[in-house]
Amino acid sequence: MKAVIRLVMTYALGTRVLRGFTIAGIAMIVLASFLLEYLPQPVWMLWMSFWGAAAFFIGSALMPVIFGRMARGRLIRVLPHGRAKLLASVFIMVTVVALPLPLLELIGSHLAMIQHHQQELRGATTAHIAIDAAAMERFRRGSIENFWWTLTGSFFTTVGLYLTLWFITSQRSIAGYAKGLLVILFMMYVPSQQLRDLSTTMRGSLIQIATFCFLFGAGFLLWPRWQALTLGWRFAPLASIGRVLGRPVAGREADLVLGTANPWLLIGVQVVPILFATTIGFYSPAVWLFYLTIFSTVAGAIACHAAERSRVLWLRGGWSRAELFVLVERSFWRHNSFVLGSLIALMVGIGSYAALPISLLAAGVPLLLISAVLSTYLGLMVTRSMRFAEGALAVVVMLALMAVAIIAARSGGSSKDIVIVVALEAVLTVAALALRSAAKSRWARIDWMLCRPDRSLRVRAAG
Amino acid sequence: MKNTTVEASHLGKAYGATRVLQGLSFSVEPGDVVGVLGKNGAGKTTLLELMLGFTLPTEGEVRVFGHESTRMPGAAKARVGFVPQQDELLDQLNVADQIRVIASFYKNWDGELMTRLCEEWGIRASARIKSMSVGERQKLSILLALGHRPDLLLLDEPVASLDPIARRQFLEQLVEISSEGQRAIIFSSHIVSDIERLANRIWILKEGRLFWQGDLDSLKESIVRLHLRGSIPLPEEAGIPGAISIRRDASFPTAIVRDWSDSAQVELERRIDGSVEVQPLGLEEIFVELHR
Repeated sequence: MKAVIRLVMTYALGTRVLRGFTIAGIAMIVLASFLLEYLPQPVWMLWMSFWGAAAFFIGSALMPVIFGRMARGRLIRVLPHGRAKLLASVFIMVTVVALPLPLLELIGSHLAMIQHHQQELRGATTAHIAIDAAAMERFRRGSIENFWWTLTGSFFTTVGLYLTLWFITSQRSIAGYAKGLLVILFMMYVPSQQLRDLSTTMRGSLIQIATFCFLFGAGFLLWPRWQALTLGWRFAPLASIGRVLGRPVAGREADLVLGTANPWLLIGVQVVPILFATTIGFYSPAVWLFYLTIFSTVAGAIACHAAERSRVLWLRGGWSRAELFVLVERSFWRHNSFVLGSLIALMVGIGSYAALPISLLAAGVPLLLISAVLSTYLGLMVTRSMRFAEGALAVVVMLALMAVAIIAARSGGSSKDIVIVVALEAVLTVAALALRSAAKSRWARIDWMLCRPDRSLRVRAAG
Repeated sequence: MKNTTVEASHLGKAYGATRVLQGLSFSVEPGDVVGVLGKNGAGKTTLLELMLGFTLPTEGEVRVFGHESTRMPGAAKARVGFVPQQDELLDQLNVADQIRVIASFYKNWDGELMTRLCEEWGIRASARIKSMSVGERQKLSILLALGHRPDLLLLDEPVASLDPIARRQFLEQLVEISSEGQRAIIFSSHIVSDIERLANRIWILKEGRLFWQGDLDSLKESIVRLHLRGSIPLPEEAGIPGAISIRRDASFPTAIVRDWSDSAQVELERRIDGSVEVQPLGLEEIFVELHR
């Protein structure tokens, strides 16, 4: 148990920055639940609990990283009951992170019930809203069922987000992003199924969570044995797919090193979820613009590995740092133009199909372009490992993009609204140019000793 | 009852058609310090992996503290320490947190030993692992394997990235640990001098087989270089009993032989009508000659 608690503590409090997020998150959740009893709940207070849960989730972002590193390693197999303890720590962490919002909801319902009861006792309830005992009991049962229903959703959403985070942070390649997007695709489908069927009970909820835990746990614990058994096995179809995907790209070796040689994989994993989303009724302009803007930043985000990957180009090629920047920039734009083109085509296609307002397309197309430019140069600015400054800047840029997307989607098409959106997009364009200039200047004095792939990735590449 | 730490019989491992190890039988007793030698790809790491149960043998079995290595219970694992070739430290943590994480898995973690070793080895508890050098990381990896005072310590190329001072400290530490009596240590290394200095038993892996297992003195007595000085040249087809290699290019032939005995020497001297000078070899020379 000691090891499980230590691991959970490490996930939540492992580094100074994450510790800050965790403590802030817990404080906000506690404060929100405390205020529930004393204050009416305006929107900002509901947001406080949401941001608290989000901060708590971010604070435990070390969990997928540490879990991935330890699970893939060999040391864990020598530690007494290592894999079982690691697994238990993960389940506990996911449950702890998933619990606050459903719990707040339950407390809120409970308090509402008590207050209503007290009002009734004081005779303050008017006759037309008086609730009899049977209705009260139904409400109580309903709120408990609602708690389990929310907990299931929250649990699976947390698992999905951690999985996405794990794929993206552990692989740091298009394949990693692809797997992350596939998880998001799965998450988009499962909650929507649950929304259609609100009959989840406590039993059903627990069965879902238990089934997932059992399957994941069994898979995780048996994985080393399976791996040892299947070592040396070759699955012919996979090998042939690998040969097709990995066909030689003579003359574009730099693209291969940078991971920009083949844009079709990324296009595929972006287009499929979007097309899938159209089948489950996402026709809100705000949602579309929101998602497409997020997706358009993915291609650029891959650029954050450009510096460490181009180390090998600089060591072996005859480029100066400035020339290398131009080469890398060109390579990324060649790659991103395909991805961006497909997203814009999708936007126009879906917009026409779903009869979205033309003003949305007019505002949306430049926004996609700007977000790709911003994320690409933000990525290129990472000439050492991702540090606090880059992380904070990325968060600010993402929030700004989201804000503009929502404003654009909500604008009524009046000239005033259009002017605001255009002005905001102009500001973002200037920011993109500033980021390019910063990236260029950083590349000019890049220190190749500090700019190298993560050690765990180097080890895996060597293995 | 005999308290064998590791015992293997007819152990073998193949990956598809490639046989990495075959027919290995050995036992390791408490107090043994075994040095595993072999060229790159000889199967040293695979052998350690088999002992730790990371991979399944394709023939035979290996038992650790009486348990099949692939099914070691937690109590048996608590008696094993392992230093992998590539460290598996958590980059995001600092040294103190990393130690705390590993320590939490053991009931008998020796915090005082850890503190002392960290001081002696110059590892700061507040240092962030990501910013540590390869050598420092390796030191920390080794320390983490020692903290629970394991009865069996397996080290896969532990000193490869250590500087000479750290290597010396590590070897001294290993000597101290091995002198505690009930502990068995198995370590693979390319640095033959370290094995020569530390190991009381040597395993030499060659072409997937355990070419030699025994103590260093027996090895040195068994494998020697012969300088033949005779009036009758050694005929081309004439063999020398136990010869591993014969060189005829010099004015006097030389040979490396195994299991050399006085009677064999008398017989050879009679055949060449001269003298046979027996030269003992260092471990490094033996290793090189075996792989020539």
